[in-house]
Amino acid sequence: MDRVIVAEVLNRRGDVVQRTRLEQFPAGIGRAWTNDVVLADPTVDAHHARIAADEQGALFIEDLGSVNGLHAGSSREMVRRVPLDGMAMVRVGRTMLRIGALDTPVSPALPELAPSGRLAWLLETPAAIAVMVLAGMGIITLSAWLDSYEPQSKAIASVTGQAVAFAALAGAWAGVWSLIGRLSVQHFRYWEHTALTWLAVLGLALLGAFDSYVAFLFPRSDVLGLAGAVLTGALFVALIAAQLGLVSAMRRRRRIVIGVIVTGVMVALVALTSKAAKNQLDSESDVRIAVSLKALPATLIPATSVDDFVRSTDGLKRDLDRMMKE
Amino acid sequence: MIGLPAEAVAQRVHRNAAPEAAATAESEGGETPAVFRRFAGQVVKVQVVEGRSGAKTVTGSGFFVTAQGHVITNYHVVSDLVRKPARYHAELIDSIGATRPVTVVAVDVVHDLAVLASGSPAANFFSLEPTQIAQGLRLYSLGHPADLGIAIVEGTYNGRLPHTLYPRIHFTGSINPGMSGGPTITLAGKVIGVNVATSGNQQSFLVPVDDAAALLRSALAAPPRPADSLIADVDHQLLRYQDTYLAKLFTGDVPTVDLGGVKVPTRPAAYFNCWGDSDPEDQDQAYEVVHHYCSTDDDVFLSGDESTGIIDFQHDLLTSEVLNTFRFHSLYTHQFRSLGADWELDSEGAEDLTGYRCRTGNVRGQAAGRVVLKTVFCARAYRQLPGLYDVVFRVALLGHRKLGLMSTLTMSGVTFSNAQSMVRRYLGAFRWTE
Repeated sequence: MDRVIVAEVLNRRGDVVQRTRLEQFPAGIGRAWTNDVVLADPTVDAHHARIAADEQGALFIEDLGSVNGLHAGSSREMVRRVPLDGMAMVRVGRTMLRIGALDTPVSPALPELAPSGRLAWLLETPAAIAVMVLAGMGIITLSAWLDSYEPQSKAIASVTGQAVAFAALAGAWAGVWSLIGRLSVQHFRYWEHTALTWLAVLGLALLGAFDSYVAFLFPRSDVLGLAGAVLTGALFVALIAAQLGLVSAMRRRRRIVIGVIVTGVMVALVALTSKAAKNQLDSESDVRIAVSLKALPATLIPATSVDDFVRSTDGLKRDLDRMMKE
Repeated sequence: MIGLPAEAVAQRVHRNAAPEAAATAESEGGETPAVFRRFAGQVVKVQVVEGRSGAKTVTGSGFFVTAQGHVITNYHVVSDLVRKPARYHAELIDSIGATRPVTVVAVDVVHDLAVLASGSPAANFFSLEPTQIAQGLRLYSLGHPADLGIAIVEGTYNGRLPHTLYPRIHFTGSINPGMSGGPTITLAGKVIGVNVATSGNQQSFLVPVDDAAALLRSALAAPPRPADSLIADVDHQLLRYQDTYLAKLFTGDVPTVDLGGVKVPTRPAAYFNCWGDSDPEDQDQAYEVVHHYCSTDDDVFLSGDESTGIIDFQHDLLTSEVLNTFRFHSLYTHQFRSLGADWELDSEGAEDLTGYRCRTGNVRGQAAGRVVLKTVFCARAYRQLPGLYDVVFRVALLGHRKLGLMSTLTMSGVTFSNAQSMVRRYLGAFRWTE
């Protein structure tokens, strides 16, 4: 009997947790140390089952009168014997065993991914994660509050509603990434994804506030407005690249490229859906006067003379005259 | 129609394809049948027909004013034809029901008049002469209300409207949709005015006969012109009109009212009307708004959904006891972006108008002062009427913790340079206190 087979112990999620090479038959399976495959499952007998060869030399697994018996595959029916023909799945107690030939392909090793880079420390301790999540939620709630102008009782309800909705959205975003991680590297890392999401939210909120102050102070500067949009996009790309780092072994360059593509697609989708929604709701789309009025003292606000402002509208006339001829 | 409150909008009395409930005048006056017998034959129905569907889109009235068969009607009855001569044509139906084609030979968009040529002579016609009459005189208005056949309506002459730049006669009588362009005459058959608009409850308006006579004189003197050149006349008339209209506005000493410590301009000319209103802070609202609104009574009809020549402005004072500075400024921003339903700027544009485009700035209130204002200047161009624009200028006072003052100046059908100088003059009429 010069046959060699392998027995793999799978956990409930289907991950291989133990691999044993079997060369001598009969080979014992059970909790006792004298077995060839030693299992740590309390529902398994000390000597639960054995693998042996019949008169023709064909291998089979057979129950040794155990309490919980032997099952073929995921069947609930107890069987006495299961022939081991090629690859076979059997269950003893709560343990799934996959028994097959030595040449059964072995999947490549999964990368052991830990957060890397300069901001890795942010994801290392639960305290740091908690701080980020709370800071993100805090700034969302604060900005919703400062954006509201209803009387207090109404404002509290609407601000709470917005904060909860936002938290749900961020939680869902992190959840999607966790699922991707679970599928690709068998790690959810939910809280790490949540922390990264809220870190980005914090960044976007601060950037948005900065942007609106800049737009308020320098209304005629297109460059600053563009810079704000570019920074927002960059932040989004960074978030996606960081999250890709937790769910794959991709190189940084590749992650950034994917981040740029995903951001581009999302921007396009948002633009398309908002245009479609606008067309559906109202064929007349109103000009959004994207002007914010900020609580700054007059002395801090750079201002031009009325004449300069009026002169600046000459460009507007040129634009309109061009549009008129179209 | 931008920014005109409902009570100030006179419903024009041409009749659109959609029928409206029409009331017929009831009277037992003995002279009315005589007037009707003598003059109804000189009144015609005018209808504009769409070429592709072959169906009428607008009906109105008109009346013969020459032996050659010239007819006076309203510009707004034939406006589709003037703007799109390839798509529409007009016809005239006389008192015996005969239909004949007519052409538009002259228009006066500002006074809402048009002269049509029917090409066949008229046996009887009204002669247009200036006539002095006293307030209270009984007048008779003729026309085709609601496409129901010719009708006569009695009413009284109540003088000229006090607050319009261009004169309109106030006629107390029920002019109804479809009677537009018909004559309002005395017992002796002297034309006093041309039916033009109504604001309901027997308040009707006439274009004075002098304006009709002037247009007829110029039409008879001018050589015949192709139908598609009339739109250029409309353009010139509107350009001239807005020049006159705006020349003196916000110059000299403009009266002001105090709003939150700022003296804001009010009623800059006699032909403006101003209203005020406030929206107090209460349990449902954490702020108070005070409005001050002024507009002209004049407007010039361009097409079914477009009027021009309207100037209005509005000041809004915003205060709050409850909100902190940041929340107050969120409110201020929100109000500045969209104040009321009038503030609706279409960015897409339409067949006749481009979309709105805007410029924003931070501007010093006074030459060397510390008052700073946020300004937004939005405009769109008329595609068919080169040189004319609709402009909305909006300004907000900055630098106060819990006080906001916004002001909006809306001008429709103005040249760009007039709009620019109006903005300068408008800002100059404020007295910002420091």
